[in-house]
Amino acid sequence: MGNILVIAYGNPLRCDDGIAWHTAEELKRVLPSSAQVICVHQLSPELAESASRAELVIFLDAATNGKPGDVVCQPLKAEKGEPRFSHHLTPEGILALCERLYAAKPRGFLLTLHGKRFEHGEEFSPAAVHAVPRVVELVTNLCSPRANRASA
Amino acid sequence: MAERKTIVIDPVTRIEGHSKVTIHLDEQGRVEDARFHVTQFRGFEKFCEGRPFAEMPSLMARICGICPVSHLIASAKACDALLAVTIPPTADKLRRIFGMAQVTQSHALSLFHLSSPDLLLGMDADPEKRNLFGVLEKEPQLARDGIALRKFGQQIIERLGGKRIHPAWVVPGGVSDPLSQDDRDAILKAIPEALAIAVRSLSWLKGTAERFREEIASFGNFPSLFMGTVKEDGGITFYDGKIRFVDATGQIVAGGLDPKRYFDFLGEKVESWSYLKSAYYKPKGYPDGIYRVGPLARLNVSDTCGTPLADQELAEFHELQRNAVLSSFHYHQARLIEILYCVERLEQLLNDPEILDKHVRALARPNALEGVGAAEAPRGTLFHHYKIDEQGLIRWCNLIIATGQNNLAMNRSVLQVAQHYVKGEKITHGMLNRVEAVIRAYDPCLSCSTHAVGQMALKVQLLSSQGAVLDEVVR
Repeated sequence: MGNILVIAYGNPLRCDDGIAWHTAEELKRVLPSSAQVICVHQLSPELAESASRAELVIFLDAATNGKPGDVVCQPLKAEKGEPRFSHHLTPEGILALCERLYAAKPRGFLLTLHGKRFEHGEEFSPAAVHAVPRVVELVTNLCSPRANRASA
Repeated sequence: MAERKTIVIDPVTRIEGHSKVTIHLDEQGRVEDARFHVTQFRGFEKFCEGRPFAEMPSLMARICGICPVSHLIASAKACDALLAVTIPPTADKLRRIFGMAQVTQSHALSLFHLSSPDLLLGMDADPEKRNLFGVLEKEPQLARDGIALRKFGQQIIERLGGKRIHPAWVVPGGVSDPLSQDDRDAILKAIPEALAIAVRSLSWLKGTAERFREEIASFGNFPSLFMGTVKEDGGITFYDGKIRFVDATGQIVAGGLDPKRYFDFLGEKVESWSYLKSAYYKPKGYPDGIYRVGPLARLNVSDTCGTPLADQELAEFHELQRNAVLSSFHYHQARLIEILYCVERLEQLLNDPEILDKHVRALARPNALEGVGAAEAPRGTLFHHYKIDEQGLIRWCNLIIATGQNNLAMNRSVLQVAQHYVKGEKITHGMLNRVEAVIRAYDPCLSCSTHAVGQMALKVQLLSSQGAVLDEVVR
């Protein structure tokens, strides 16, 4: 397994928006120590430097616009054109920075967990909590040597 | 009869928080007034009432995602005053390290991520290109340097405070945990690269000055007072010292002022058109008591940095203009000199024989019912003032934030830029960008100073006095 970076992002003080952080804690337990798991509020350009040193970058996020508990996994490509930036970036923007600043092309995936509650608070909805094992499974599969060989 | 018109820039982009600018034209289409309106409201001073005082550092850190460390430090110092304790020497040094890491990462964000597109690509460059990606296309090393420098500061904060955003490591009486040898060594290892970037970036920035002669002359280039904290020897400090005011000639107007007595020399005025209060120097009244804080002001009030490379740069900086450096365009250069100083000073502090000492917190119960904490935040002097009851609950709180202290100067700067660049009835992107760029030079943090969320778009309308839209630019 090559270098793996998992970036969990969201606001842990807005209920399900923090589910990626919660999932990250579980991933730190199950992934090998060679995998780096970090939690951030938003995607900032500094992450590109870390991502450029990885072979696989997995972004974990929560979303409001789907059936609560649904998990979507999608491969990512570096954003083309001129991404707008002032304070935060998209996952594709991070990959674009990797490519253009560091000549690095890590494989990228975005795993989105659809939440239900996004008000102030630190409690997760049952739907979000029940979906966490599925996210962990998907991340583990993406990190497996077989998955890496298949996509090499 | 000709109509009087107003140009509205709403919101102002690439700053921290939400604001708009209105430019008021007379019947001949000449700029007669301009205002910088802060349109968001936070209200931290009110909703922390009733909370236990020991919670204040953590609560106050939530004011801002960019400079939580500065609020943490000022708040903890106010709490130290409530406890009436002297914190352990190692805790004092660790707080200084924490604060300078904050200054480094915040200044790097302002200069490299927010302002370098203007400085590298030009004020009139295509707005679609005038961003970090435009910078990396033209000068990738500059973009890499900005990222590396900000990461350097953030990683120190993360190592000491446990996380980059809203760390709670600074506590009343000191800090919660000592510095480990591993963390000390890791930070020291990163210093040479950070130092090289600071030196390289200063060289680049100074090389651009010739291209911006007109902006230097018109971006907040007017006489005012400057305020900052200095050590007893007149040296720069971000943590502790006395308040000094200098005037436009560079003469000390007031010195040796106790920051705990800020209310003796600072007043605040509320204007109906902004949520941001305007601070002024009391002896001169409002608005004549206009003063500036932050990097430009700190270098104007400081006699020395006390580190070799920063002292060389400071001497050169003081030569930029006769007497005090008045142009707010030079905030950018001042920011880089402060980064250079911070990196040099960090190395000194990390090599201090006491820095790994385990005694980092003084414990006590409240011994006073009122406390003031002050520190130099990236954007200027920050005051936290608390009053508590016998149970230790906050009964009154006042925060004076750097951006509020620059409010009068920002308004005057916007007016100066608008009068210089806005001509006739046609709006150009270059003109608008200069109005925004002069605000960016101050690096205002409106989340901090008004105690929001939304899209950073830009819509500018030129309106007739009857409200008809004469011209509109949307991006």
